[in-house]
Amino acid sequence: MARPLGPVRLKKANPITILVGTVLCIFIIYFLASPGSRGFSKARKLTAASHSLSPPTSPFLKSNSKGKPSPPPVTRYNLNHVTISSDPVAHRENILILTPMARFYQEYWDNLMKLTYPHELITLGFILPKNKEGNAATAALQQQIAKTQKSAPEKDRFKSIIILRQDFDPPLQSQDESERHKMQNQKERRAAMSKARNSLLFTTLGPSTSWVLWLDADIVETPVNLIQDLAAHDKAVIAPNCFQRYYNKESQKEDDRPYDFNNWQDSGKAQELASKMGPDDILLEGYAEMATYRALMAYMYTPGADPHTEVPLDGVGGTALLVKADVHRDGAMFPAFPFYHLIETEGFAKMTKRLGYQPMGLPNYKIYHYNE
Amino acid sequence: MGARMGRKTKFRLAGVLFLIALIIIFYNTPLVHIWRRTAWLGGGQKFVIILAANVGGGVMEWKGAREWAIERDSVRNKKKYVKKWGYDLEIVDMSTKKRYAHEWRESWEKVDFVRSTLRKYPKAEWIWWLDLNTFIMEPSYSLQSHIFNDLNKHIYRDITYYNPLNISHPFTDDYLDEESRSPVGDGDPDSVKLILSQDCSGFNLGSFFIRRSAWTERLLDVWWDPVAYEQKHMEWEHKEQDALEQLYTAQPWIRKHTAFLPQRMINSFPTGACGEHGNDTRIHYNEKDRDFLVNMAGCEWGRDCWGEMYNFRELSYYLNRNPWERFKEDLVAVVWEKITGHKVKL
Amino acid sequence: MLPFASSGSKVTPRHHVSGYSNGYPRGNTFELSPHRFQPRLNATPAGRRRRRFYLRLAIFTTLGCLGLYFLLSGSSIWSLFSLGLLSGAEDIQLETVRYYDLSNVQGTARGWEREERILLCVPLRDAEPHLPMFFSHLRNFTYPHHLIDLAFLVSDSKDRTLEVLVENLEAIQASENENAHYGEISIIEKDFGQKVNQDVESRHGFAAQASRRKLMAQARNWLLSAALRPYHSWVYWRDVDVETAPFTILEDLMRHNKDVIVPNVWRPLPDWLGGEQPYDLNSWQESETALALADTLDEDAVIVEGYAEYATWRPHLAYLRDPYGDPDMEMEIDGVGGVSILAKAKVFRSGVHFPAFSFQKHAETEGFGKMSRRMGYSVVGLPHYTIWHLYEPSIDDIKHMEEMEQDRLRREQEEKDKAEKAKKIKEQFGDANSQWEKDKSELQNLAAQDKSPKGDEAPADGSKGKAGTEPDIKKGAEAVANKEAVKKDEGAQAQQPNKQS
Repeated sequence: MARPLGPVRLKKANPITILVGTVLCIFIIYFLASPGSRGFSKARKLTAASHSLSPPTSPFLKSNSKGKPSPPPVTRYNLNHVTISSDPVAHRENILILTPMARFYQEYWDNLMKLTYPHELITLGFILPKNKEGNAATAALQQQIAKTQKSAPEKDRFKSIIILRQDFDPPLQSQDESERHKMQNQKERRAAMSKARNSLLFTTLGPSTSWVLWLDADIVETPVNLIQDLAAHDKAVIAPNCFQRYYNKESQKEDDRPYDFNNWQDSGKAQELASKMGPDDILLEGYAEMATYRALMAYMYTPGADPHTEVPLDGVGGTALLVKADVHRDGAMFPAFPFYHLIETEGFAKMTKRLGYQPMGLPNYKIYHYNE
Repeated sequence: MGARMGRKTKFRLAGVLFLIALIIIFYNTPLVHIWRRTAWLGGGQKFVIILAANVGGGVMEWKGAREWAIERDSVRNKKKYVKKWGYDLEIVDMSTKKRYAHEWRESWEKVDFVRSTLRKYPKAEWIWWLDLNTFIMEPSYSLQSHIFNDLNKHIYRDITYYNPLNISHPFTDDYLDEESRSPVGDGDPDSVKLILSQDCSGFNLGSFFIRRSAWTERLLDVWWDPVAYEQKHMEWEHKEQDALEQLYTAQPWIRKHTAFLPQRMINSFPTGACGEHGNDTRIHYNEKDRDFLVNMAGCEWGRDCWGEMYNFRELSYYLNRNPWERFKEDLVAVVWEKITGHKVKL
Repeated sequence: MLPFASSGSKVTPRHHVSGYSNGYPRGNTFELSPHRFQPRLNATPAGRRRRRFYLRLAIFTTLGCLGLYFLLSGSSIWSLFSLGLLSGAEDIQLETVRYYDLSNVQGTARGWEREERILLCVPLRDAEPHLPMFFSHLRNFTYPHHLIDLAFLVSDSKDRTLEVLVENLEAIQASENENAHYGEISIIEKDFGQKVNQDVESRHGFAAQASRRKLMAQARNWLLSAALRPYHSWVYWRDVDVETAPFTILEDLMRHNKDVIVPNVWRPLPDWLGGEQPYDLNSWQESETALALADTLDEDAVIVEGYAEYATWRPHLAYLRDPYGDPDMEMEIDGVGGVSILAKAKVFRSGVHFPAFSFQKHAETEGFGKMSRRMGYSVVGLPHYTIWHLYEPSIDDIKHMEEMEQDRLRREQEEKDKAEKAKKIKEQFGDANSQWEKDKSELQNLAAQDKSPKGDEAPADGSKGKAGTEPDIKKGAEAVANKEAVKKDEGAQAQQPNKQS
């Protein structure tokens, strides 16, 4: 009988132990060997870029092989062939959805997932500040993204997603609604927002985008055909009407109220106020101290009317805005300095008019903002 | 005494003397500088030199290599002078501006800059305006020793002493007071607020002194009277110079506080300015007399500004060499040349 | 206490007496041995067989499952089990999520040490003849090429700009020298319908300026928005017709660590025009006069520098060049010229672009300078750091050059004609000079002879010595005159010898 000469278990191994061990081994091998995601179809891989140095609106092929990567190829982009039409689905037009995000709302993401526009033509772009709130939002966002891009069915996965972190500090410490809207804070806040929007826009626009949809991070409900509906009007800049759902205590039922007052048509009074201001002052909408008497699109809603009614606008808000990429390429951006006494999205509307485009609004097409 | 001093005392004394020696060796320059600068000791803070630089400023025409070189040399020369004697230097930008152009004219550069300098240097008493094409030939003369310590000896207030413009002096009208009718004003050097020199054709404002006072404020306000200038500007080629001549001719209150210095004290001309041969003893620079400053006026018209600046710079260096340099160049280099036949630069 | 030192120590065997000698457990004998509750299966042969059976079953099932699984999922087993040494089939994944932190790309004074990427933007239009010169510059940049991304915009070109461009770029990327490879290269094609043509006269005529600048601004913005990425720290705009510029220009400009920086741009001229000339008058400092002028113009007007129509009284960077000056000297400016601009990417990320509308009465690059200033960025120029733009002769210059050429030819022809004539005369008339010399010396000799030998004799006709010589001289002169007359007869048909003019 062989006798062991050292510490050795003479006890017979428990079969349960062996069973547990085998199961664990299989588990480990499964995780090591399984591909990271469930993989994309060939179709998507064909249109992807071959090098990581490529426009962010397209995914790129990451090869696992070792060895020196070859230099990036010479790529030609014919922008004469990028169409921008009223039927973007038929023409397979790429759309870029840009969201400056400070807080992540799950309803926002769910709403995004419900959009019927083919997701393989949608690129998402986010820009988040680098502070505590921004970090929390980034983490939540990345979690949702991982879930979608890795496990959701392929038709739900987006073409490409870009996450940027801002390089300047947001001026306010708190994002609470009451603080945000104090008049003195508005100018710095909106200047910072402008810089964030511009950073996001110009680094992600790329050579193949046809449309840009600006969607605020707190828009939690839109019609599922939002993009097709807005694009059907074939306008350079078009904005729907942003409302907010709330519980009306008086009538004891769910109601909604206008939320975005930055969509307006200019008035003589506002022009007069502007002419008396210094070059560094801005006109703000929605404050009793600065009565501008402008016609606000938020109040132009008529229940039961045709949602495709258009009105011309002189100022737009950024809650939802569909812009033709050509308008941005010509140079229209969100000025972070007083531009004709306007700033951010309203200044953007003025700049598009200076370039020869006319922004339009849809007063009867409603989308809904988060209610805190 | 040495015999009665104890060892300890000797050591202490030696220590103190050593410390004083160190202070003198290492802090000599700063101490001298502080002495020269303080208003109640040397008086350096009371003088500010304004140097008119960047003439043209690239607005209408190019500023070429020569203009840059002239500016470099002139600025360096003034900076060295100012550093030595503890004065302040204000270098002002003479870029062409519409407000100084004769068809638009809101002011003269000289007036604006004198005013702003008086504001900027509150301790300053005298301001010395210098054009760019000037060179201080004798940096060893301080303004105090050269002019201001004995002002009455150098200035003349009676313009008949040297009168290229043939201005009738003094006023003879009965309604004027004694002081206005006297040829030398009140004779008090403290009442002199503006000191300038005259060249062969009239007043020369390339190098002049002006003092902080209420009279100066009034003068600066009135100097560029737009009404008179409007009518006269085609005649007055020299702009503010001619305007000042007009004011001096017509207004007694100007004459009371204006004094003149002989041209060669602060404003010698080179050959070619005011005479081809350079031998007018009232005007032209004389090496033997070691004139203080040379003003290469009018060198843009027909003469070589850079050449003149370079020559005067080298001359100034030659005249003011210290003994070591003189030894090197006048003895060693000459001997070397005699021996080997080569010129050598030491 | 040692872990295995309890009962059951191995070294000293303990004979657990009883029970197991025959393999079968005993009933309920009291036994304190720890082995009591663990019947060992392989003690009995049946047990051993059973055990072996179970083991084999388990192994086969596991292997079968795993094999099936790997087959179905198609991933590579070999790489896993060989610890990654053997790689299976190429596993190419599609990466759809990109994360960038913009605070990493702010731009510093020594970007090449920090691997900062530069985007080099070049707008092109009908530039085929300039491309070889441009590529010689491109090949020689000293900034690490793999950190430079190239972006070209080819618009409204009727020549082979695009083809030549692609050819040259592919050659660079395929070259063997790895240091020559650039980063991302994008060529954007877009036609804007430009009606102004590109020759020097039209480009620089005053009336065309405002609309031309707005179209150029549009082109630049299209190029920038298509090519700017979140990982760029710097953007360098370069015109294709720069003739001479240092190869270290990127580092030289970057060192100043300014938000927008431009060098001085001059162009060489032929000697008879002066040798050199300031070229880019779009870099200037603002003046009160220009601001006042801007207030008087209407909203869409654009002030253009260098034309008498707009007197702006601004100091121009181009006029302040000192060839012997310090190339690092900086000058704050408000308008910038577009030949060679280095700007931090954060300027563009904050929204500053080339306005295609009249922004503060300026468009394109000058509007860009003004907008940067409005946003609070530092905009400087280097007056003594010069790069040289191509010299394209204007129509007047070409005419003048043709005239000079014709002058030269005419002069040469004249000289040739003169030389020919002189030769001809020499051949036909013979060289009269030598003959005349001879005659002259003969005469003199005669005169001398008459004087000396016949001086003491009385002359034949009895006159004095002086008179006596005269007839001889006359005779001599006659003789010469006769000879001349003979020659003249010979040359009667020929022309008169032409006078020396």
